[in-house]
Amino acid sequence: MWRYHFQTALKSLRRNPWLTSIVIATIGLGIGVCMTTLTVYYLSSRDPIPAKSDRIVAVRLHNWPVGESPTGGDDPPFELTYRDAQGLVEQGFAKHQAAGYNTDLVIHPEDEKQRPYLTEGRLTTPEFFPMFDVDFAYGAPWTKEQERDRRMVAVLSSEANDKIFGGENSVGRQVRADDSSFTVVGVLKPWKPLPRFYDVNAGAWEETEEVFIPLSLSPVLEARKGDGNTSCFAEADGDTWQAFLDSECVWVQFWAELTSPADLDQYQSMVEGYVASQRDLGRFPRTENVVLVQDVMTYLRDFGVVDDDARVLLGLAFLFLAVCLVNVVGLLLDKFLLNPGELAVRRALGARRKTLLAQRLVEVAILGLGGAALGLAFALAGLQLLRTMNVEEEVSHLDPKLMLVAVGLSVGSALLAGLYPAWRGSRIPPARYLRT
Amino acid sequence: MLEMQSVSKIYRTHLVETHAVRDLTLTVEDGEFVAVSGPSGSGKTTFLNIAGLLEAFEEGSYRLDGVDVSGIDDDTASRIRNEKIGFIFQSFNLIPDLDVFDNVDVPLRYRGLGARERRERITATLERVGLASRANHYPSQLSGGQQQRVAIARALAGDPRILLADEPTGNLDSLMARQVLDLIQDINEAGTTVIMVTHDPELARRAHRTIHVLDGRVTNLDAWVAREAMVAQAADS
Ligand SMILES: Nc1ncnc2c1ncn2[C@@H]1O[C@H](COP(=O)(O)OP(=O)(O)OP(=O)(O)O)[C@@H](O)[C@H]1O
Ligand SMILES: [Mg+2]
Repeated sequence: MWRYHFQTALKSLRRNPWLTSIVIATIGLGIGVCMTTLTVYYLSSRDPIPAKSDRIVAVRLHNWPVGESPTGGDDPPFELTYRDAQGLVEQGFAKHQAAGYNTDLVIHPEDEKQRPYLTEGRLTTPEFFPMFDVDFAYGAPWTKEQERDRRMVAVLSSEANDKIFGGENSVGRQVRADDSSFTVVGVLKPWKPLPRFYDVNAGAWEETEEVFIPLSLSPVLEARKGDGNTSCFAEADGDTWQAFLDSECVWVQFWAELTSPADLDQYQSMVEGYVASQRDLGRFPRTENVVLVQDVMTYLRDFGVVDDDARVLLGLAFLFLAVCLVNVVGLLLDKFLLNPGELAVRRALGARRKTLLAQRLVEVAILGLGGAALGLAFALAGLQLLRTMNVEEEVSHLDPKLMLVAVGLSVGSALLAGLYPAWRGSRIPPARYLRT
Repeated sequence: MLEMQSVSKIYRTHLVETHAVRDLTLTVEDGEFVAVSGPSGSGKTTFLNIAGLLEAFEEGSYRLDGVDVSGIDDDTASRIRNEKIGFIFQSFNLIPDLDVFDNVDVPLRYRGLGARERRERITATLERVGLASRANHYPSQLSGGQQQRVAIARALAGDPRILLADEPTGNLDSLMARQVLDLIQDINEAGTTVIMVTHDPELARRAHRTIHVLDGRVTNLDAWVAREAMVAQAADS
């Protein structure tokens, strides 16, 4: 029967090609607008590390005086001072913890013929890698001892290893960055969390850094922060790099991995203990709202990786789809009541009301599929347009899962819009519409 | 067998009430060929629609093949129409964008028959109405008489017990009308009950009997003529 419905539906759609096109265009437009905004929204708000995001936490400490805050509200800043980040790494309250920041580096490839190039590096502590489940192609992270002893070691990203060493196992070889030379201890497999949650300050949609080196080298190399903000409520005690590291400026990210999300309160009180010990040094003047421990998604939401505009836009897009659907209801009412004669004949020949309803719904589902195809085309064009308007590449490509959503949304919307017209059509009184 | 007892049908609009069928009582035996005549607006089509379960009625009772069909649900009524009743109309009512084969196929699809059985039945009935060679033509490519024969094939393909025909020759010239009527007579002789509305006394004569509908009622025509005459006389004097 469904095949017969399908054939009948196609005939009916071909009978009024204009009306059919207008219905498909209307659905397609609504779906296209929805999918464009939904894509940006979905890709911006997705979980970058789903296996662990509920037990990986960022620590935010409020070292500002009462009544002042760099965040606009009264919440602690999103980053820590260098000394607190290092202090919390040393305390080792959690299963894993890592501090770090982003810096600019000039790489001098081994091959003399290749030109030096500017890229991003990251100073961090070695538990960064196991905490974020980063896989190694070769070698391993540097050790805690190497971190403590300020060894000149590096872990390369897969891309950097391709560029510098042609993708070979480069463990043990030297890589020159800026004016220093580092021994390669590990090479990562390709890794690109999106959003780049561990350093949204330097950019949530940026590439993963190419070179990772020990954070303890910061005082030695005087490696300045690359991208991202630095906030200070007081000037540093002097112009030296060390003075900046000792200052109350916040600019370093700190993350910890708990054994289970249930440990969050316990962890929070340990951090509060650390803060209390710092008060003896005359730091942390405030008593309220000093320690905030947030899991990945909460932190990203607070940071505003997905801004409110995106949410409003998404709401508007669905409103627009609703307007499109109201129009489709009107068009389908016209279409389905356009020739009641045929419906009446089919009823006389033994079609049940349900049968006619089912046949109409098949017709509507086909319109929905057409709308989905057109909608996806519109969405592709829309996303292209957004890219020319400087929306990040990473959040503006059609995801296969979202394509399925588009098809479901389109067919679902079409069925919703078609239900009433189809029902009306199935209930025409046959005796009145049979030509005698 | 078709039995109607005091069946009434009233059409109500916000302006008027029309008694399209009024207190109609009628029995048609299996295998009968009944012609229905009467002036325009007398309720002939309404009667056929009630008989064919296309129209509900207010009062009275209607038994079809011994089954009380007043107030049955849509599924049951549709199944009875599909299996037991064939319709033929003055204006053919073929579906214009289906070819002859697919038009005849419609009731068989709703019966849920398999492809092979449908094909066999369609071919056989098209042969019976003499249109086997036109299976792939569209209605607009056929003459009126041919279209009506397609409609007859469509009504016959499902092997109905009753054929309901509403002025089946009304749109045809006399030669074509005769051919169509021959066909209907054949069908009746093969055992199908036929109820046929017609204005033409010539055609009505082919039926076993003729019933006259007047003002929604089956009327004994002779008694009516006599009464009209009396009324006229009374008016004269
Ligand atoms: N759907 C309807 N709504 C209101 N009145 C109707 C409807 N259908 C028929 N009627 C009225 O019912 C009466 C009987 O109509 P019906 O079509 O049965 O007559 P008929 O005998 O078939 O006439 P004709 O010979 O012209 O086909 C008429 O007065 C007609 O106007
Ligand atoms: Mg009539």
